Formats: sequence, C-alpha cells, structure tokens
Amino acid sequence: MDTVEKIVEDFASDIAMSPFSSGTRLRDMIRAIRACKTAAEERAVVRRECAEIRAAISEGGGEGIRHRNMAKLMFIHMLGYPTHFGQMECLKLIAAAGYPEKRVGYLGLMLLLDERQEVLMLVTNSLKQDLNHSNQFIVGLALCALGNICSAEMARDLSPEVERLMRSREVNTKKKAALCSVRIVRKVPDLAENFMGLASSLLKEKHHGILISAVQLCTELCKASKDALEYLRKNCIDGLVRILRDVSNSSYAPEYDVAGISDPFLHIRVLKLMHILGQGDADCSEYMNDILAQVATKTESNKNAANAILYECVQTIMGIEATSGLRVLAINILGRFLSNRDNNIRYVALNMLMRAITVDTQAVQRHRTTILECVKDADASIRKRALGLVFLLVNDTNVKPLTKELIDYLDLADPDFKEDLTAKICSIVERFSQEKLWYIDQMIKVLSLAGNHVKDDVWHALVVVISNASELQGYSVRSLYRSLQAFVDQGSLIRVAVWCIGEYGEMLVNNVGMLQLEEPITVTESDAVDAVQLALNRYSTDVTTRAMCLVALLKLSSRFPSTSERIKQIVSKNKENIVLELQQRSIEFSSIIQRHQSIRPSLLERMPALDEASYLVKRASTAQATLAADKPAPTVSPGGLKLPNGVAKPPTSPLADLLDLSSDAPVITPASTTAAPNDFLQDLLGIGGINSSTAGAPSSASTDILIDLLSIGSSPSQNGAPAADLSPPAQLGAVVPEATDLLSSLSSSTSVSGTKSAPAVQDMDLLDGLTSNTSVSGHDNYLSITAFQSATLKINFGFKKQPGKPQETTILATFTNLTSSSYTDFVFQAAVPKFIQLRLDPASGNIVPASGDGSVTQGFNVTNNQHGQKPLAMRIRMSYKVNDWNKAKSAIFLPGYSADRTRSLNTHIPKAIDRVRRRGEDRHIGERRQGEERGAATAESEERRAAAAAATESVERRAGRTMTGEE
Amino acid sequence: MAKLAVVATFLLAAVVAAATIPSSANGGRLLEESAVDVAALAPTGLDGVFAGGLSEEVAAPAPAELDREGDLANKVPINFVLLISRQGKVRLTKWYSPYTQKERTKVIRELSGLILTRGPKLCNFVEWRGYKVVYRRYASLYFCMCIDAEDNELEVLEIIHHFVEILDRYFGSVCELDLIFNFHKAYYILDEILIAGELQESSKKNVARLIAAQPDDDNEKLRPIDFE
Repeated sequence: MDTVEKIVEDFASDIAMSPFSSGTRLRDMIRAIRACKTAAEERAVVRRECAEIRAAISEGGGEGIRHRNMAKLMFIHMLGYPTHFGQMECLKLIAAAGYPEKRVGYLGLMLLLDERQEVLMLVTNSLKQDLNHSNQFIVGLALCALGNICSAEMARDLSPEVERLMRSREVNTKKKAALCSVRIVRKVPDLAENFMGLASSLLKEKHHGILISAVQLCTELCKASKDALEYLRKNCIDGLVRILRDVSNSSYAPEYDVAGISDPFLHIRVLKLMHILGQGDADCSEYMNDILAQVATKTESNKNAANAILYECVQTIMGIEATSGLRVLAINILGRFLSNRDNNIRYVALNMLMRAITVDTQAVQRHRTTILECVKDADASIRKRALGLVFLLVNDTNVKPLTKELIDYLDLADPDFKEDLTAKICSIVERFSQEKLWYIDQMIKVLSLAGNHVKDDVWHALVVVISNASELQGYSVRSLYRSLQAFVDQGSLIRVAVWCIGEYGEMLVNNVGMLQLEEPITVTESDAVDAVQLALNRYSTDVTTRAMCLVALLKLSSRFPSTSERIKQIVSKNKENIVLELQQRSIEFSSIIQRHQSIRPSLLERMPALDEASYLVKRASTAQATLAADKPAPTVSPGGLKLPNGVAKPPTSPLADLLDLSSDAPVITPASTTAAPNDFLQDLLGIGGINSSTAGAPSSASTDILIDLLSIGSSPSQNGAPAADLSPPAQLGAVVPEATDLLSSLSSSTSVSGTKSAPAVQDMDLLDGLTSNTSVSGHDNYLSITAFQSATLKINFGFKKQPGKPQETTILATFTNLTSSSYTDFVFQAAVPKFIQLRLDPASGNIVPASGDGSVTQGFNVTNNQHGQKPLAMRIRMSYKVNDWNKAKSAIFLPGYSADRTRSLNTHIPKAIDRVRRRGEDRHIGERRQGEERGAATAESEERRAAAAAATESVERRAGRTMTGEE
Repeated sequence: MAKLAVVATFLLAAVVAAATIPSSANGGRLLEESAVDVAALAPTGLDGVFAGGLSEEVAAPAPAELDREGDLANKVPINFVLLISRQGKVRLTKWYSPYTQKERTKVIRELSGLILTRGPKLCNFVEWRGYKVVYRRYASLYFCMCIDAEDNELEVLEIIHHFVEILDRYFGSVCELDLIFNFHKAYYILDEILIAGELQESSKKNVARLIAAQPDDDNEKLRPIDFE
C-alpha cells in the first residue's frame, strides 16, 4: 500500500530534520498546512511561513534556501494567499548560476507573475543570457518561460535569439524555439515574416515533436499575416500532405501510439493547418481532397483518439472548398457521431452540425429526430447544443410537430433548463405562427407549463394578439380559464388569464363566439369572480398580478352587476394594503363602484384593440436597446422637430417623460405606447392650445385610446361589445354636476390634485405677486430666481412683465454648467398646463461651456389665461451630451417653490393620501399620479383618464418608460 | 473548506469513501494501470467513481473584467490548465493567457462550482463565458483545460490523458498526494508538454526522457522530494 510507504517515508524525513536549520522544509510546510483543521489554523501557519520567508528576503542572505522559499511561496500562492513580495526573488533565482535555482526561479516567474507586470521587464536581460547559454536545458528553461509569459516588448527584444535557436541542432531546443515563436508572433504579428521560411523548413524534419511545433507555428503565422498565408500555401502544402500520409499509413509505432492510432496529435494539427490553408483556395483544397478522403474513410471510430481525428477532418472538409462527395462523407460521419452512445461524441456532433447547417441544411434536417432526442438528454451541455440546433432547424413545414415535441418536453424539463427552453419555444411560436388560433393555443400551453419562466414581453405580445383577434377572444378567455383551474402557480398565466377574464368576462360566462372544436363550459358569474379572487389572494407578494386582479374585478363589477356588491367587498379589503399602489387602486375602485355607478359602464368599457404594429416596433426597439445597452441613445437633434408652439418635439419617449412627473407613474405611458403617443400627449397637455381636440370631443384619430375613452357614448368600434357597455348619451348630463363639483374643489385647492398642484396653489403666486411688487417700473429688469439647480447644472429664470398685460410674462432662462466638461447638443424643453400658452425663442447656442465659463440663454414667453386664479406651472426638461453620453434632467417648475422641493415630489404622495382619507375619499379619483395640474381638464375627464389608465394597466409594464439617460 | 482532508477515492471502486481523515490517508491512484487506453477510461467505465451530483450549467454573463480585450485577435489554443480536487482545492494552475490574480481566483471559483457539481455520465465539456472547458476526472482530481469554442474538444481530452499518463509514468501510479507534495515536478512535466498553450511533444517516452535527463539536485529515489 502507498499509505504505509508514505508514513514510513514521512517519519524518516521527520527524524532527518535538523533542529538547527532555519525554517522548515517544503515538505514539512505542506504537511503542516494539510494538518490544519480550520481555515484560521491554516492562515496562521501560512502567516508564519510568509513571515519567515519575508525575513529571509530582507536579510538578503540565505543563498542556500532561496529556492526552497520560492517553492514554498508557490505552494502558498496556489492556496490563494498573496505572494507578491516574492516576485523579486524569482529574478534573483533566475540570475543565479545553478540549474536548480534557475529552474525554480523560472517556475516562480511563470506562476507568480503575468505578462502585464512591470517586474517582468527586468527579467529580459537574464532571459537573453540564458537563451545564449551553452547548456541546452537552461536554454530550454528560458524558451519555455518566454513562450509562456512574454510580453510584446520582450517578444521584440528577444526574437533574434529565438530565431537563431530554431536553427539549433538540438531537437529539444528546436521545438521549444518554434513554440516560443508562436507566442512571439501572437504578440507581435509584424514579426511573422521573419519566421515563415524557418517554419516551412522545419516541416521537413522527421521528429514528431519538431513537426508538431512547426505545424503550430505555421498555423499561427497564417493567422497573423496574409503574406505568410500565401507563402505557406505555395511552399508547404506538399510537405503537409506528405506528413499526413506518412503518419496515417505508418505501421505501429509504440512511441506515438494512442489506442492503435499513430500520433493523433500530429494528425489533428496538420488537419487544422490544412483547414486554414484550404479555406477560400480551390487549388489547395483540390490538392488535399485525396488525403482527407483517405483519413475520413480509413480512421476507425471506436476510440476517442480516432474520433478526435475524424472530428477535425470533418471540420477541415467543411471549412475548405471540398468536393461535394467529400462533404457527403463528412455529414455522414457526423450522423454516425450523433447516434453514438458516448455523450462527448454526441456533443461534438451537435456542435459541428450547427456549423454545417449553413452548408447543407437538408443533410442536417435528416437527423432532426435524433437531434430532438438530444434536447431531452440528461446532460445540460448536450441539451443546450441540441436546443440551439433545433432552433435553427425549424421552418414553416416542420414547425408544428417540432413545437409539439418541445412543449411536451417542457413539462419534464428540469427547472434550470426550462427558462432557456421556454424562451426558444416562444420565439419559434412567434416567428412561425401562421394562424392566430395555433399561436394562442401554443402560448397558453407554454404559459400553463412554464408560466414562471415566460418573459414579460412574450405574454404582453399574447395580450396584444388576443385583443386584436375579436373572433378568438371568447375562445381564449375560456381556454385561459380552464388552464387557470388546472395550473394555479404559473405567474404569467395568471396575469394573462386575469386580464382576459376582466376584459371578456361575459364571453366566458355566455360561451360567446364558440369555435367548432371547442367544448362548451359552464361558468357562472360568480365562478369568474372566484377565479380572480383566488388569484388575488394567492399572489400576495406580486404587486403587478394583484393590481391586475383589482382592475379585472373592477371591470367584472360592471360586466356582472349582480356581483358588484361582492366585488366591492373584495376590493375594499385592500384599502389598508401596505403597498401604496394597491391601496390607491382599491380606494379609487371602491369609489367608482360605490359612487359613480352612472358612469361606470362607460368607464369600464372593453379596451380597444391594442395596436399590434406599434407594439411590435416598441418591442423590437426595447430589444435593441437592451442589446446595445451601452451605446449612447440616439441624439435628439436640437430644433429638428419643432412644434408650432415652440416646444421642441423629441421622439415619443422623452415626451412621455415630460409628461409624467413621478418616477413610478407607469399609468400614463402605457396608453401612450398603445395608442398614437403624440396625439395623446399633445392632447393631454394641450400645449399652447394649438391642438384643437379638447377633452370630451371625439377625435378623428380613432387609434387614440384616451380620446375614445374620454368621449362619452362614442364606444370604440369594437366587435361584440354588449349593449351594457354602451353608455347612453343621457349619462352625459348626469355626470356634469359631479364634474363641476370637482372642478370647484380643484380651484379651492382642496382636491387630491394636491398631490402635486395643491402646494403650488397654496404657495404665493410669485408671478402675480411680482406684478404688484415691482409695479412694472423697470422695463428691462428681470427678476431672477433659480429655477433648477443640481450638482451639474444650474438654471436661472429672469422674469419680466409687459405693462398692461399682467397675464403675459417674458422669461429669460440662463443655463450654467457646473461640471468640468462642456455640454453639447443642449436642448431645453418646456411643457405647460393647458391654461398657459408658451412660446419658446431660439436658444443662444447649444453648447454650454464647462465650469460656469459662460452660459446659454433662451428666452420664452408664457401667457397665463387664468391669471389671478392659477399660478404658473411648468415642466422643464434639459437634454444634453457630456462626452457623447446622453443626459437628461427634468423638473417641475412652480414659482415660489424651491427646486429641491419640486424634485422630491414623490415623497408627498403619502401625505396626499392621508389628506384623501380625511376628506372622506371622494372626488379624487382622477388625480392618480399625473401630478401635473391641467387646468382646463375637467374633473370629469380626470376621472375618465384615471379609469383609462387603469384599463390599460395590463400592458403597463411593457411600456417600459424609456428614461434614457435620466439622472 | 476548513478541513484539509483527503478523500480516499479508489479508481473503479464502487463506493466513494468520503473519509475526512487528516493527512495519513493515502491518495487514490489516478490511473489504475498506466497503459489503459482512453476508451477504457471514458466515463462509462468509471461509474462507481463518480459521486452523484447535480448537473447544472450556470450561464453567467461575462463581467467586463474577464472580457480581455485584444486577446480575441490572438487566440490561444489552451487558455489555462487547472487541476482541482474534489473538494475544490487547487492543485495546479497554468495560465497561457493573461489573467490577473483577481481574475484567476474568480475563474477557479466559478469553474469549481460548474465542474465539481456535474454528475457522472455527462459529457466532459462545459460551456463557460464563450469558452469551453474540457475536464476529466481521475480519481479525486479534475483535470481541466480551457479552450476556444471552436477548438477540438476530443483532442484536448487526449492531451489531458497524455499528461496524466506521463505523470503516472514519472511518479509510478500517481495519486493526488504525489501532486501535492511534488507540485513543482508536475509543473516541470507540464512545461515539457505544453508551451504557449500549444502541444510540444506527442511522445510520452520523449517527455520522460527529457525530464529524467535534466540535472536535478534531488534524486527522489534516495532523498524524497526536498529542497535543502
């Protein structure tokens, strides 16, 4: 037994240890470390050893034990402790005369240092001396070290020595020098030409070590330089073919034999080089055809070594301009690999087929069933490869059976793999779906089996498709309901199902739009509510799902008036919820159910069909954005798109930013993405009053969800909307009193709009005060205040009133850059409530110089149509580039309200909620988080807007408010 | 982690004795017979040796620090060689591409998590950060080599076996303990097989001859592995 021997050996060496020798021997140190029972003990031992080694280093003596210390350090290094203090010792050892010292020194050099360390430069001289040493082993050490860690500088300095050594008579030196030059060429490709002649002459040698090294050098030369590639194509293709023929025909040679094959390493390396030489060169390829065919047919594939050769041979055949017969041969070899029982072989076969698919798709298709089996393999590496390959194999004809197979397997797949598999299935289904029914069916299956792994954009897409497929909505909601009963814990299934039940609840109950293949199901109104309630209770942690449940319940309360009371109770339970979002929703929703029954049906109409095209665009762009996450966002060209009212109009997303004030307000943005965003925003903001569409008036832009929803009675032209959803025009009258009520409350600054606007109202109207205080004396006197200040940017507003026109104010904005780098492409934008008109003048420039060294000014003119009643309010946004990085800042400007207070508006929300509670929870449904007071917007439209916002909730996450560069 | 225990794992033994006996335990021999061919050593033949484990592949996104710029241009056939014990202890590391110390630690930690948890009978390749790590287990030691995604994995398995056979020939039925106490020897041998991540010598006999020919002040037959 080894054990006994070792113990005896250890014991003997223990006795031999001299008590007077300073420090322990390497072996003892290793043993001491291994004897440690805890990490702390180990650290203590290592610390002690390191201290001793350090002491020995600083004493400078200990010539005899230096290499021992180095060996110890290397061991300590392997354990993961810092050993940088030993680096200089390596150099000393290398400079020593003795071979053992040098050997340890070079080993330490390779282990403790890497090419990026400065210390390495110091060793160049020693290396040069050793390369010229008379002892071939010392030369070998230097070559090895140089080959493993040399940097570009060293490569340049020492390349002549290495070149000379390649002509050496010593076999050992020759092959090491050849490999060393591989590294040199890799580091400094310019040197390739110096080596090409030598490399091709080495190919004439007999010794396999030299041949292997030379072939590898040639390969590297081809990669490094085009000239070398051409040179080698001309000069060594004969030699290579000869080498390959010799080695593959050679009789049994025990020295090189691996599993009955003579030197598979040389085989493979020659094949690799042939691959490179033959690529894109028909003549070379022609020359190689025969020998490749010979290797491919003669090699027997029952051993790993043989398979390795075959594999390389197939790679070469696929890479070069081979004849079609040869290609067929190669694909057949892969087919044989694929049916091999060995996982390694199957893995490489899949890998290779993936590359072969571009060459010959049909041939790969033949192995489809086998590949599909590999998707179900126990081995994660194989599964991953196979799935990737299946993904490439899918086409219009085989998509249905393949998807079925994959979905069937989804149930059995282990959790780690599910995510990958789900993503691929979804992608296939989306890419190849020819009919919507099939798509919806497959997606529901995927959601049922792996709902927790489905990405958000995928189920969002499903919702969009369902909302557009009017004839399938009934079928979808029933299928989803069935799945919901069977699979209770699949997150995104629940979301989609709840959304559909909310939207198409009556189709579920009444079996509307039955398809022929469908079996009718009996679902009562209360069953539907049960399902949503169950989801609501089950998902106590997921806010989105719960919020969607609340919206669905609200909608059901209108679809099924009989359940209204029950729904009210369920919703009320959440009034106390700790999550603000849910609390707010339930308060608002109960209020809708309780107090606003007259408008409820019209409020809770079915969502209009979501715009598929714009969703796809949106999705593609977000996908792109995530792909190119670190690329700067596209620049907004200043003044490129000017609206008549002077507000520069960047692409839609910044506009959306302009509008919503609080950072957690996704309510508005979904609508803006599903509908035509610009119309919607302009309408909401009513900027400058240019846009003629006022709230409540039907707009010609029929895609505009909000306008649709706002216009009473103009039910979206949606199919199968039950009569209950159509609101009779008579209701209009019923609403008005409430609306005016709300409006009055607004102006008396008590409503919830206080979330944002109340503070402003309470604050003194600075501008109005201004007129009275300064009494129009100095015409050109600007009264200046700081409108915005952050660590990087400061904005001053200077105000001037025109005499006799108190409602008109001229403002001169001055932008000062507080950082040390200048801002380019600076654009200032402003948005105002409807009762204010805004006219922006051109800015003095679009570059704000660094460190406050000059500034940009821009004048603009505001007219407050409700002067004396309402204060000036404005949302401003600055976008600019710093060193080509896009930045944007936005703020709300309320005169008399300091910048930092405006910036932290979000924190006011809880207070506002309290206020809401005190006020008996009425009259505030509208002001969710819009925050911005829009004077002309009536309370009624506020209310409707909130409802619309709530209705679009289901797709809100997808909107993914693109806050590009927002700080 | 705390205990530096040796796990005695015998090749072809049905039971893996995960004994935590301090250093007195012997290391399992890496090769049962030095002349076994590769097919016999393929995982299928070693059922008993492999401890059951979860097969999982962590698709970690490559952080910036491991995406080494400039190296894509000059690909190294073998980026690094790692020997890890079943307990995750590093027994040998050789880096042919520049990795900083920090990166090295990170790589080792990630790969041990990836490889040591793989079950038996799975293929010997793990995809990792756009590279492939070819590993093979010999008794209690995992020999890992990191190669480019397009390289020949099967050949790397042969190189690993080539290395192990030479070690076996040199130490005489090599076991993990040999490689712990004589780690420097293992490095010397590796340096005779690979330079710059390229294969240097395909003949085991030549390597053995070269190693034996090098003047060495300690002759292990008489004075076991020592630096005095």
